[in-house]
Amino acid sequence: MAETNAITPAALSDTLPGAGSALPGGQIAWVRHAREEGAKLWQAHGAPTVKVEQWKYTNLREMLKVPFRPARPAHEIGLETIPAGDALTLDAHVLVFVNGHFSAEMSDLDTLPKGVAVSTLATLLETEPHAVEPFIGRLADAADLPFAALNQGALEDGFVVRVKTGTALEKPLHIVQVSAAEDEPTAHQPRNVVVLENGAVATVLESWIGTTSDTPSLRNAVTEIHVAQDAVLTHQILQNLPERAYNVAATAVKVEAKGVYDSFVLQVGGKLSRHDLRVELAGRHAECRLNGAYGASGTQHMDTTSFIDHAVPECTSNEIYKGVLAGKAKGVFQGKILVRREAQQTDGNQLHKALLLERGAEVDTKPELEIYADDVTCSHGATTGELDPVALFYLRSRGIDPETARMLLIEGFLDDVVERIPGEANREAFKEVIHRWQRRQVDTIDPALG
Amino acid sequence: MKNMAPLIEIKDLHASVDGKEIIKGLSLTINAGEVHALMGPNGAGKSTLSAVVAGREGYEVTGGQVLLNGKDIADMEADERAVAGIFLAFQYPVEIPGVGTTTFLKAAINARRRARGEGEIEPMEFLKLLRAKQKELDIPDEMIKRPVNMGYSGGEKKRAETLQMSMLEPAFCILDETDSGLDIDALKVVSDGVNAMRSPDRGFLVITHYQRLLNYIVPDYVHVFAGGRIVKSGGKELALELEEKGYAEFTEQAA
Repeated sequence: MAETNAITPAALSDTLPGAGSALPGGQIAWVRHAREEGAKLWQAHGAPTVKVEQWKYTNLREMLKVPFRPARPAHEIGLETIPAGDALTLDAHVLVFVNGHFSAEMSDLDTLPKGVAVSTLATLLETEPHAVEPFIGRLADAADLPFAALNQGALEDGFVVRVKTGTALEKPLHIVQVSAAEDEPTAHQPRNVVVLENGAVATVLESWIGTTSDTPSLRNAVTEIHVAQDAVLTHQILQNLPERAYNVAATAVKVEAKGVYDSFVLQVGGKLSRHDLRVELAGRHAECRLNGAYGASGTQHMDTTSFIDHAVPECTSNEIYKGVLAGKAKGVFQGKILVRREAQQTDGNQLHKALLLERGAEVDTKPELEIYADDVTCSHGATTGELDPVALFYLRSRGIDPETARMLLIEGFLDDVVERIPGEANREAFKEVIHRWQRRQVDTIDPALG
Repeated sequence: MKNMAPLIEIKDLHASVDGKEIIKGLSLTINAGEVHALMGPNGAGKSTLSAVVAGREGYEVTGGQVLLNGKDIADMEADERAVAGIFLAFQYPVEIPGVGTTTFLKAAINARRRARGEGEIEPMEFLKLLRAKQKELDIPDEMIKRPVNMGYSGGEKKRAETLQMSMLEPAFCILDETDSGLDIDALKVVSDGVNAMRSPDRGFLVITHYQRLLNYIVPDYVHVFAGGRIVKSGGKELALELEEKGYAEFTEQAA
């Protein structure tokens, strides 16, 4: 965070807890220190402007004008139902968090197998702070990710998933996170931890949804994930927030030797959404597969910024992201692959493809390879195109109406990345969301592009 | 009830691409049950005619009419024309990544069924139909499992076009240079598929540069297309004559 944008007090400072707040773990030195450090960094640097390289294409000006206050927990808002239809639908252990706080009434944890512990950060900070200490602020560096600093300054609650050595969680764990809007603009800053011990296998799904409101909301989430030796984590995220929601999320992952981190992220919601995905391949033969898709329309802004750090030899990373943009929507993809000097025999591949459905849509891509080792196989590519008019005519010449033809072509465009989603039920759940998104687009887009 | 109007009636058609007139007063009537061959030198605008009739964007009709069963199709979009019974077998079938062949075939069949007020095709009925046509046209499952036309050889593409035509049962089929890129075996398979579809209710316009295809799909009428219009019409023997003499006589005439 080289750039300093010192405003006193920095924007969004009202989302930080005030002095004397009774937050969980407040009596523990490292927790207090983490909060102070986070707040201090945020106050010193402020929110990033477009002059900061990593934020060049995502302008937060509008968001920073909104006077966000900390959100209240669900029971205080009186939220009794959640817009479950916006979440992924599939058989899973379901946990519900509203504005970053656990909702026991809406969750179902009774059937979790032995060896899988799901808790809230607030509880652990009171009961077992030492269990989370090694996992807070280690991967999501507050000095490097401005919003992680803000989040750390407000460190309070979130989910903590721990899968013990050798345990395989058969059914996915689905964490539904609801942004519940209030009468005034509110922000919540969940802090989450996922730890897979040696040889553990699990699938964690996240649905980021929210209640529809005219009032904007801000979700600033940080999730730190440790995949230990031989462990395999399948991590799938749906961002389907309502249209006035802002979302800034960082997922920071460390993968040890022979571990696998396999992720898929689908973003279709929100007004502005930025997802930072950072993966450190820290042990030999560690592997990450980062796949994703996004669909944006209207004036939506969707940013995926990924950073893959090949720290040791013989690791593999594969990343494919595809975006479909309509209206005046804007997509951003920044993908950096760092291959350190000692990381020989690295295999790193990255691809971003965007499909623009209308003239007003825009995409900015910045692939970046930084390679210091000499024996590596690395590739990256980025393309931006429109629907192929020849293919469109071919389909229509077979009697297929233009809306269906467009849908087929959009689905066809996304097909190869969607097919990478492991698990048929999971794949179908995402396809269903994509299908619904498309249905909304083809009825409204201006077919001027053919 | 028999429709007394001709299946296709093209009256004094003029059409331009990018402001350049390609079709300059073409008239042609095709009745149900007939196979017409349109032959002509390369670059004469044969494919322009097929694109205009199929309703491709970017082709401007500047004069004349195309009637399908007596009804002017000028205001119909490509998909509406297809549903009304026009089928164009492409000279260069388009590869469409990510779109499954069966998904595509089902969508095309259901579009027709919807227009007729019928419900979507039952999965079993669809499979049965597909299997039968695959067998007829020697199309292995492996081809069907691929996205539309993806990685097909020239011959496979033409067989796939014939499969679509055969499944969609159009009233009027345009075969645009179907013989291009085909070896003799593939030519035979495709021709057999087309011949199996010949019926008193259906008409064909076979567009080709070479007479060879017409040995397999024997036309009732042959037309010579040059300089943007039909310059000579006759029976199937006209094709043989063209094979022998070439198009020089007509291109000079047209120029």
